[in-house]
Amino acid sequence: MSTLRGREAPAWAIRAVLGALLLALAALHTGDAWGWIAALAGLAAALSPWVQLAWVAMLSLALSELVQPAGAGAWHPYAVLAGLALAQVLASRAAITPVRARLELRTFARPLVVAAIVTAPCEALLALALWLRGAALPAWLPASLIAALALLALGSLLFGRLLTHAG
Amino acid sequence: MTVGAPPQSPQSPPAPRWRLTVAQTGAAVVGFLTAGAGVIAGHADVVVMGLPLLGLAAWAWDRRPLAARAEEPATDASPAAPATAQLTADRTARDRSIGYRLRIETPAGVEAVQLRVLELGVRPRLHVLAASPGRPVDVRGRVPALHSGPQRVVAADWRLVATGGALLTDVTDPIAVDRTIDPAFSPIGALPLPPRLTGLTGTHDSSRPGDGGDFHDIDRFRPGDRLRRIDWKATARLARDPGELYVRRTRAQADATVFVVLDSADDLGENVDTWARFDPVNSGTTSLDIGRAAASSIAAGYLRQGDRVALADLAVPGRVVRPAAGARHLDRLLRAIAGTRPSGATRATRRPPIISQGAAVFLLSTFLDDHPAASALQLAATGHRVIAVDVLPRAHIDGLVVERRVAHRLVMMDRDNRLAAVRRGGVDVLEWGLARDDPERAATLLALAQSRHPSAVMR
Repeated sequence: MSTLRGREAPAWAIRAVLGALLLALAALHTGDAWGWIAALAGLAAALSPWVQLAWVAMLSLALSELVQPAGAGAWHPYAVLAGLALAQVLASRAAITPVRARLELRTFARPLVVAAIVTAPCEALLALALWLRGAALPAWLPASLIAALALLALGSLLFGRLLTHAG
Repeated sequence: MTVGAPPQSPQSPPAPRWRLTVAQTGAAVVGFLTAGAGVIAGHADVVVMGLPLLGLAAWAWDRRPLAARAEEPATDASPAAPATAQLTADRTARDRSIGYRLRIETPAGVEAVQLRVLELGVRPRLHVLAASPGRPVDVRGRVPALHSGPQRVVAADWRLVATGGALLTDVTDPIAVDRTIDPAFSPIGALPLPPRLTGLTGTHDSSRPGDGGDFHDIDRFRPGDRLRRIDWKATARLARDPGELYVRRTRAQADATVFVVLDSADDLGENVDTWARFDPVNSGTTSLDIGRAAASSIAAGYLRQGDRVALADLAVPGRVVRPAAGARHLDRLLRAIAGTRPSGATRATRRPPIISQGAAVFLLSTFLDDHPAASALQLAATGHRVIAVDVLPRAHIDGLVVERRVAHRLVMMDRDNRLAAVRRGGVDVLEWGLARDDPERAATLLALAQSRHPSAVMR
């Protein structure tokens, strides 16, 4: 009996959580084909050796927003956005871990923190995008705002990296 | 008692290479496709949907670990800075188990270690453990010492994981700890002796008159007889002529030479279901476990009496420890016996060992093939006293399918015929069971010891 340091979970449980997450997100889009594709791909990713199908499910979930445009007050786009980041963390680990393995839960700490840091501004950006779509604004204004925010984000990233290297 | 073994020198296996995983590619592809679809469709919210995946892919690429030699971040197939591993284990078993400890120091940038631990050569255990430069992966465990003899206690290999699974190294070469477990034994008390004793000293009475303890006969004084051996009462009673003297003769002391011949061709456990595969966990006590214990008991019993003992391996012709006596020789023999491992030698290569003339032979085998029986008969035919020690453990056949049960019965019938032929050829057969102290075995040995050939002579 080995003594390890932290709490562990079986790898199949991580796959099960990934499958359940993708199925739950797909359930938000059962009205269109993308939702069904996401559900099937998510199920296959959890049950079969082809965990790579999780990214097919993620792509289907993101594209399903095209056919079912949500209003500014809808909550499910935010859930899908957060769910995609979480699914990326889980699928990344599940893809490289044999089913019989056991994972120390602490290994998820850093990727989850990073996912939360990356997702939080995207949620705000999504709220802005949904508001702009709902508002009766000139066609050029939403595009300009998004472009400006994207440039701002890109510039801060680049400056951050340049300053780090200069230091 | 068991003591913690000094740590083995840290082993630095060759640097593995970093590989990009599907996680990095998947996130980038899905992110770009989603954002592109959003741009084409003019849906800013769909564009945003792709941003977290692109962000995570960018983070993984930005924070990738350093390569081994260059001070640059690792790229696909670049060698990783090696992890330092230290695998230590107890020298001997304690409470019928051996403790081990594995520490892996990971280089900077590594997030987790995928570790595979193989205990007793089976039961691979896979763990994904968090790692960071100041906090090494530390795994401790205990492996049950189920068998005697040489065995691989634990082996481990691993690969490093970085940036949330976006980068992964190749699996390293395994590192392992081997230990030789001494068999539990108790020296036998009753010692069957060979028909001919050798040497001029020892603890056994030979049939030759000499300087010993037990009375042999009364005989005429001859030149060379010691004066103190003159029996004056017998001289007064028996002498006919003046000057005729009679001496009291005693038996000479001598020692026995014993060959312990261990057949290492098979290692079969109690569980017949495991005979066709390597399964030390479920096999139960094996024939070599019994063989090592029996050989140690026999060697220790004879050496304690001052006799000369040799060891030979029936399956490995060159593996011989020459006959000698003494405490150091006992240590040498016990080490050699404990180090006996299944040889898997093909039948054609096995030949009976060369045995000193007049020596007693204990041939320890499962007798599942003809060679040990033929060797026993051949040695008996050349004048040796041969005792065939049956070391096959009592089989557990309850869980066997019908076909295997029938096959096992056929094999056992064949073996019974073989042992019957051995008995007919003048070879004593001794069954050595699992128990360390077995009254029935002791009684059989006593009977064998008392049935020593009465006209034992000394060369």
